[in-house]
Amino acid sequence: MSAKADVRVLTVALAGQPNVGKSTIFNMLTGLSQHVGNWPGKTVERREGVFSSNGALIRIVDLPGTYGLSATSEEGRIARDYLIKEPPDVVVIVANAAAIERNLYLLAELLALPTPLVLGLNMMDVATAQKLRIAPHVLEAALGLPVVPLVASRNQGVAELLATAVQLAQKPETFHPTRPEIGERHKHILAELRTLLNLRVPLPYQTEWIALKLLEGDTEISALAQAWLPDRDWRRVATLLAQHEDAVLDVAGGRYAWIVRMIAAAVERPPLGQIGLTERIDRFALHPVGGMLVLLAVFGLTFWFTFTLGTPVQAFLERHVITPLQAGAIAALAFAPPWVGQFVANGVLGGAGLVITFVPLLIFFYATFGFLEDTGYLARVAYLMDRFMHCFGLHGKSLLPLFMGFGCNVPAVMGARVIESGSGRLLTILLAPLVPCSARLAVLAFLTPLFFGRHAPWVSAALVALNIAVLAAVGIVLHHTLFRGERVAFIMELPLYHRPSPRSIALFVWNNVSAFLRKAGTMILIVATIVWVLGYFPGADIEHSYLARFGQVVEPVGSLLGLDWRLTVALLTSFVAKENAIATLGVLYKSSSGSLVEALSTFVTPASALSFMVATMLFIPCIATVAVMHQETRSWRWTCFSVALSLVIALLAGMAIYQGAIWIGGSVRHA
Amino acid sequence: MRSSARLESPLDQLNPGVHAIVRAMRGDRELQRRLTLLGLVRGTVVEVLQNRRHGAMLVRARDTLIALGREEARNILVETTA
Repeated sequence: MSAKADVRVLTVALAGQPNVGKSTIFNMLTGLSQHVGNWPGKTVERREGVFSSNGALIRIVDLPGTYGLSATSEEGRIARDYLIKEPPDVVVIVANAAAIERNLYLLAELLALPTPLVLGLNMMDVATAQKLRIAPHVLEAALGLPVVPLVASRNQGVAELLATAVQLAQKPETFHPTRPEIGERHKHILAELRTLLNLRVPLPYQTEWIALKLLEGDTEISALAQAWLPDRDWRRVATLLAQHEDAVLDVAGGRYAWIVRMIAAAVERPPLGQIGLTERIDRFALHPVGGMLVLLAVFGLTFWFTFTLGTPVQAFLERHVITPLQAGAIAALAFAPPWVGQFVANGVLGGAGLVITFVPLLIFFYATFGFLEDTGYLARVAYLMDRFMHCFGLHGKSLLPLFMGFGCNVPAVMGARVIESGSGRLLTILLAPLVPCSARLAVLAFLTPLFFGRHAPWVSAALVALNIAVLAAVGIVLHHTLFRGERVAFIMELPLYHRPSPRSIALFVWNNVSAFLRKAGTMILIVATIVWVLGYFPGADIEHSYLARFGQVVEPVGSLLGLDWRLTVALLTSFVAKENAIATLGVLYKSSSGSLVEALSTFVTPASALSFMVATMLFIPCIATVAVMHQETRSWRWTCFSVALSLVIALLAGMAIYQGAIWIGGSVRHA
Repeated sequence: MRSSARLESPLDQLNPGVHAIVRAMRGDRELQRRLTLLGLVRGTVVEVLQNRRHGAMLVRARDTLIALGREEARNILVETTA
């Protein structure tokens, strides 16, 4: 690595299993000097930070949280590729002291690589609360590597951890740990593999590690070895591995047996029957009936919180930021032809306004989501809803990205990354746009009172329910047709409950909102501007614009749903961003009569209004979602499939509602 | 050996509160590997916390709460201890 005599940068990699408080430690050490990017060619975030401490320049690389170094998960592959190809000076492995046995599995795997290690035992307070007594120095003696006890949430031990790591990085030759050995049953096979591999393993790989991973049946390493070895030798290896397929369990079992030996003297367990905080909360939270009620209440509160706090801020921004800016732009550009001022005020600023006014809703929604995630509750939601999700051939974990979709579909599509299997992920991505996002909910909240007066609340509820029902129906149909026979294993750790850290919540909000701004924001701004141009030119008024002409061309389709050309155009522009529907209606109807409220109640029949609302709720995903779908699936076929699917569903549903309402109206005679 | 074979049963058949020792695993290697990463190997002591005979079940092993799908649990053969 970079090793100049005077300014040597020490690279410290931070490793750990999920839910060990690793990011808290990373944030504490790097503060604001962190850099977030992606691992090359991967969708997983790479975070690192550089700072100086006691005269030494230190670079911290935060490895993705992973249970082990197998090729099973992308996180595991990233961590091991990094450690082998760009070995850091030292690895700090953070472990949850309250589940030390399982957490040291990653340590056992890391010890198969040559890099020096320091073990940070985090959550010592939780372990103590569970009457687990751990003696770090005894563990240190057994493992032969530095062990630092921590309570990262209270900033205890973090400085010591860093100092210990730096010390080891400067004197790597002092690192002589106890390393786990493979069980007797497979020792000779490992030796044979080593012989077969001898001199054929190119640097930076080490023969010992490759042999071990082959024995574990690692598909990625098998492919590498096949390329390195002459055919004859590879066939020997393949035969050997086929005869010892059970070695996966044996190698892992050997590691756990080693861990149990290592911690035997250092950890004192309480007599059975200790009931921790987590267990007490779970008695309610995971209760078959009570748990579902808690879940419904949590979901309800999330939306209540989001909209109660978000809507006033949204209105404030609209009134006190966007509108004055627009007026200012028109005044400032008074010297130019009128279309210039209009273009800047209504085209560009109008588009930007759409984007900005959604930020408060997203902030409040993701703050709630991040809070639930950080406490450990969301994993319980996945568990509780697993059975329900099985109807779609998905499992509980898919619920989390779908739930995120209520904020914005863009992070929901990206959030589908948490699903391990390709087919499960794709299906989750296809279902995500059917979740009514905050933009659609805002359209709903704005238009239903105009259309339906005092009936608005239950019409809104029915529309949201319809969306969820369509989502379920599409899920069930896809599961039994295109995705038939696909099944995903559901194995998930439920973390201990803990007090959420404002910092990680803030980070979560920032990541999601900035993703919305980067991905959705620019796209919405550009297309909103284009739509404005189409609606403004070639002049006179909007009824003679390009947009109107287009609307009149497709009106025959719209009329099947009871939509006139204005409603049709409003629906089409909602493709740019769902909230566009309101803006377009405002523009199109204002020109024909007084206020939007009057115009809508005069020109739009209840049947048309209902059909319009249904179609809007189910209509094709907005342009930003489509873009992200393509980015995530890397397939135009699936992206187009999703667009076509929702187009057909929206048209059919709108038509059914309209024709149905006409038919009922015909027999009842509405007022 | 004969007696232990008689006592072995799939994990999804166990009632809440039962402790058991993992004896064998069926299913593909990928599934086995994911289970081992969460601490489930031959010899691991498992406590069943919730099992409603449908949907996922909840177990505790090595101080870790693990949610397991039914299919996954069926592939873990255990011997009950208490």
